[in-house]
Amino acid sequence: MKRYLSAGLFAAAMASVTLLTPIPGQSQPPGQNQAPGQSKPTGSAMRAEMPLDDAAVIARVEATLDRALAYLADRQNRDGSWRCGYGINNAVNGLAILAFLGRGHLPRQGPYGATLDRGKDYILATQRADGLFQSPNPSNGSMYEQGLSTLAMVELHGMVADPRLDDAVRRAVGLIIRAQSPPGGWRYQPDSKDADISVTVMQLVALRAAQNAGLAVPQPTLDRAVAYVLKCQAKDGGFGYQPGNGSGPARTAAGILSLQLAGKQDSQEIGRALDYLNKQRVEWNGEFFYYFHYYAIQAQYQAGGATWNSWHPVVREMLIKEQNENGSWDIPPGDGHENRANEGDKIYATAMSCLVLEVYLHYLPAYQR
Amino acid sequence: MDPLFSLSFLNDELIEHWEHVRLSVRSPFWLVVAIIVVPISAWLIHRRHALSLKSLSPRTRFMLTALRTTILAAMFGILIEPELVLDHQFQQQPLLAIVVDESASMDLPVGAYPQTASNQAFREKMQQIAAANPSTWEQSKRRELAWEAVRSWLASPAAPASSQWDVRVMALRDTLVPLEQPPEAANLDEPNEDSTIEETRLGDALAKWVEQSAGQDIAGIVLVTDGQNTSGRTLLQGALAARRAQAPIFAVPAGSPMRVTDIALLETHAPNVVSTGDTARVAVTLQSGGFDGRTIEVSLREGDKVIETKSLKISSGEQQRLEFDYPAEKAGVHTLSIEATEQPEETIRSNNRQYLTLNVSDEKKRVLLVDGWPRWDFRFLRNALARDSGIDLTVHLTTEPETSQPLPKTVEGLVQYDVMILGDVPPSTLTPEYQKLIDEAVTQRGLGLILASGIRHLPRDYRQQPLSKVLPIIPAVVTSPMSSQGERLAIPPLEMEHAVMQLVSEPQRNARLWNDFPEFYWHSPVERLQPGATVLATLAGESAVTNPVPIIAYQQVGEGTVLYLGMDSTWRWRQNVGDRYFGRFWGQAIRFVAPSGNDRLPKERPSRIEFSPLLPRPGESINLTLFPGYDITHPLPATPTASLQVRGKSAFQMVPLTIDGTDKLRPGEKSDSWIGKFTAQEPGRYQVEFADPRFPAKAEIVVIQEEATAEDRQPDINREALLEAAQQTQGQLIELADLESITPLLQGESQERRIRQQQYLWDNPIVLLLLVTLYCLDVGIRRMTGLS
Repeated sequence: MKRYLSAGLFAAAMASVTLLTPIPGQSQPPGQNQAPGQSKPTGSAMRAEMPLDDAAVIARVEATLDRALAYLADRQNRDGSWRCGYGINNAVNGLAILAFLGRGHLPRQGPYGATLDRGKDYILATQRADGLFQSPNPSNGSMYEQGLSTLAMVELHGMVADPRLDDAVRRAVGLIIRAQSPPGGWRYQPDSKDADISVTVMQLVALRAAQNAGLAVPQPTLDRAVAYVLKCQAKDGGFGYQPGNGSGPARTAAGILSLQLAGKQDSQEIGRALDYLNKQRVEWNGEFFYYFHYYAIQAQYQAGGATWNSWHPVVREMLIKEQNENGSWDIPPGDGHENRANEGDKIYATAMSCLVLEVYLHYLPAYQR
Repeated sequence: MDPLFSLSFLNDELIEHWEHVRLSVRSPFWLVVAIIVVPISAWLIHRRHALSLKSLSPRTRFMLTALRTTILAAMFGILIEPELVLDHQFQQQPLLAIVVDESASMDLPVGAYPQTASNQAFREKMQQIAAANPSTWEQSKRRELAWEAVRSWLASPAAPASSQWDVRVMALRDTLVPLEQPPEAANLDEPNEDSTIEETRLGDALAKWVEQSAGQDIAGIVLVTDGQNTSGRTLLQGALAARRAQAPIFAVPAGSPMRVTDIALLETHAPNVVSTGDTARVAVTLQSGGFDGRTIEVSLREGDKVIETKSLKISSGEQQRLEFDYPAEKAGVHTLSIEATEQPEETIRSNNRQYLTLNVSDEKKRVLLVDGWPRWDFRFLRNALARDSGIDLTVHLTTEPETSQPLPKTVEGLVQYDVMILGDVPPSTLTPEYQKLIDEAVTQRGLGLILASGIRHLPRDYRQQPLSKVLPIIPAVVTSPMSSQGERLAIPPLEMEHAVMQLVSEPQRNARLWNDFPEFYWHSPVERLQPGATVLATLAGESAVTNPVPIIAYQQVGEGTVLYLGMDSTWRWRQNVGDRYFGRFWGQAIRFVAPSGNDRLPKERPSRIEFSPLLPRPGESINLTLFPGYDITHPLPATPTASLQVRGKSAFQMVPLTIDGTDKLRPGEKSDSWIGKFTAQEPGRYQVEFADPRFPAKAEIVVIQEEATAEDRQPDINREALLEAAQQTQGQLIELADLESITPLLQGESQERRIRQQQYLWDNPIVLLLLVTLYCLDVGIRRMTGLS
């Protein structure tokens, strides 16, 4: 039972990080540089980013994040990894690195320069020749770890003078492209023949981030992935785990986000899914809590307007209130993970909470609108 | 005495303890000699003058005798070495600062406090404090009630004893103003008039006072304020300065914790430039109190025309944001306003409207973005430029030749672009031959160039390469490492309004924005600036004065403009606001270095008129710049040949123009603009026209009505900021009715202190001046009376 729940937790973790990025523009002659999959807005009427203007609130969010990052840095192993409920797993290592990057910290500079350098070195050292970032203690799906590790390494690409990164991200992205299954999505293993929305959205995010960093990603790969996500939408507007499955809040948030980043912000599918999402309650309770909130706040942020205005303050205040004295977060009741005192779960929960709150900071390129 | 002291060469401690200062001499021997010698010498001089200067009148002889004797005495005075000595032992009490904010927002009503059982004692105490108006104390001005509370505290048995504390009462106006006593309500400065202090500089005031008090223990700082800091250093920065001096802050909110019944437009935002035919998105952030659930209408207007109206359901306590679509049909600067319908219960009406400007351009800039690595600046910039409909973007990333456009191979290919942005590109891409092409495209064909430094290659690897000819700086030989300490930018005040640096039109807010940008951890070291370069930003800190390190600089090189950026993390400016200022900076930089007009041939440039500030107020001087579409070559015409016609509702004037940069131009050099000034006394629309039939140009300036100040936009008591300041300094948040509770919390004790100071009286310019004057008088009188 515990293993099942942990797997769910990991699915949440991984999928939650898959904040999709707008697809970067390929270089084209003047006037023709348009991001693939992203319709260029009419004139300047692009969706304006939604800043958090209130200085007092900003100060509270930043203080909350700084306490959390101090906690994560303090729990880092000497070899650069973090120990989670599984043991040492690259999904949580990737999440922790992303949490630091999301606050604007980078390797070899600033207060967490050494922390991030060690974290990067650890993940790079685990990469196999075929591009897979092999966790010492893998979950039941190595593609979860691959998606998150690739995302973290792609975000570091170009920001630190480490010649290993260039080759590592190419091999990692290459593996994800090769691992796409016949239905168009991804599943737990690189050689899986079926797919699910959770693993798929995670790979989609990593590929978008790679494309944003200028790496070559075949457009058909992305198109097939988006088509697979669309097939997972249920009649009630929500998204299911696989085509034909019933919908769930967390999967719906993930589905919305993937479509938004595919340039379908104003589509009918998104409208129906947002209606479904807005019926969900925001409370310190619930299944796949962090998975849901990470996707949901990003989906609301992308949607903007009234739906964002009413969503983010509630989530923000809830997380700030529930932060532990030492900067960490617990797994809330009802998440399905009973062992709330487990330090490894706190690492995961803390990194995820940081990523939720860092929606305000606009730092990670993968998350830009 | 004070003016005399200020003219003297006495140090501050001697002046402060003047009553304990005594006169002394370092050489008593010479004093004895002088006492003997000077009178004898005076008698001898007098005798000699009586014998040898018989032709002079007795009065003149006496004067000469007196002068000689005085000179002699003064010389003995130097030998005696007189000095002032202060040797004073006394008890010094720790300082207690009581500061009451007197800014404009402190004229707002105190506001209603919750009527709960737990609040009853507080309310009763407030009624006692507001003895004059016990029943209406909640309607009192915050400033008046604050002073009442301070006076009540200082008059009470719980007042801090003057034997224990050195109490300083101060009003925070433009600066901290010391007061002898807290002003009586009846004697408040202009009690019936509103405060004219339109900025609150809490952070500056705290930091400065703490600095001035260095060397003396500080028992505490009692800060009675609404907590709204609208200019200068933040309250937190001031609190950190107090913490360094171990001075606890007792923050006293001067009003109700409940939100003021009001709707305020806090901030507006529009894209930097949009193209004709676009639909621009204009956003506004609102904050409100007391109208939860009510639906109001907010509209975007241009003059009297309503562009779009939206309904907003008010959610008190959270900032809310609305977006409007503005169809950009006509090129030029458009002045827009956003207005929220006034509600009858509102406390402040002026903050329901805000103005903003939108620049609509019919030009598209062609930009070639080249970088060596997918740095975050590259990733964010590429997407921001791709979204800018006024820009046609081409990207070349050297690590990804598969997904990049090839670089143009000729000068003709390069000048197909208006601007080239070079990031951290390796020399293997920019070979010396290719650098020469860039040099030629910039200097001879007017290509705009932006150089964005990176830790790997640029600009260091191009130090003695052809590209260095166009650089505004000479890079240092060695690059600087990544730093663990954050660095900040310092903007010279004069450059704050530069076209590249103006992120918002309001100067003070612009300065605050630059000051508040997050720290960065790497900059490119510079050996020196090129002679013709202008610095827009340097590294902040002590080096900004002694050895400024240019971070943003530009220079004109032949036909082109080159802008240098010595940092690699402008992406940090996205913090909390996304592309808002990041995109604006880059958009402005691109348009600044881009050649004007759609074509680089002068004869084909259209004339245009620019003006600043973009949102002028009545009575404010407006700078006009005319770009006449042709070059003005030195030597200049003998008589001014250009002027602008300015037509208002009831005014018409001709504004004479002078050539921009007249004093800098050398023979053969060109200027492309004329400048002039005018002042509009009335709000309204003013049409500006350059009536030359060959190069006509028009512009419209909207002189706006007075709008809300920053004080009016944030009327609530900022308890969070006050609590943070108190916590940072080991102080406390104290309610206005509980000032008496501060006394037992004050720290420090009186300390025995001894001051020993001495200051020479003979060794200063006054003595020298006296001697020279006496000698000159002596010589002058002798000459005038015919003596040799």
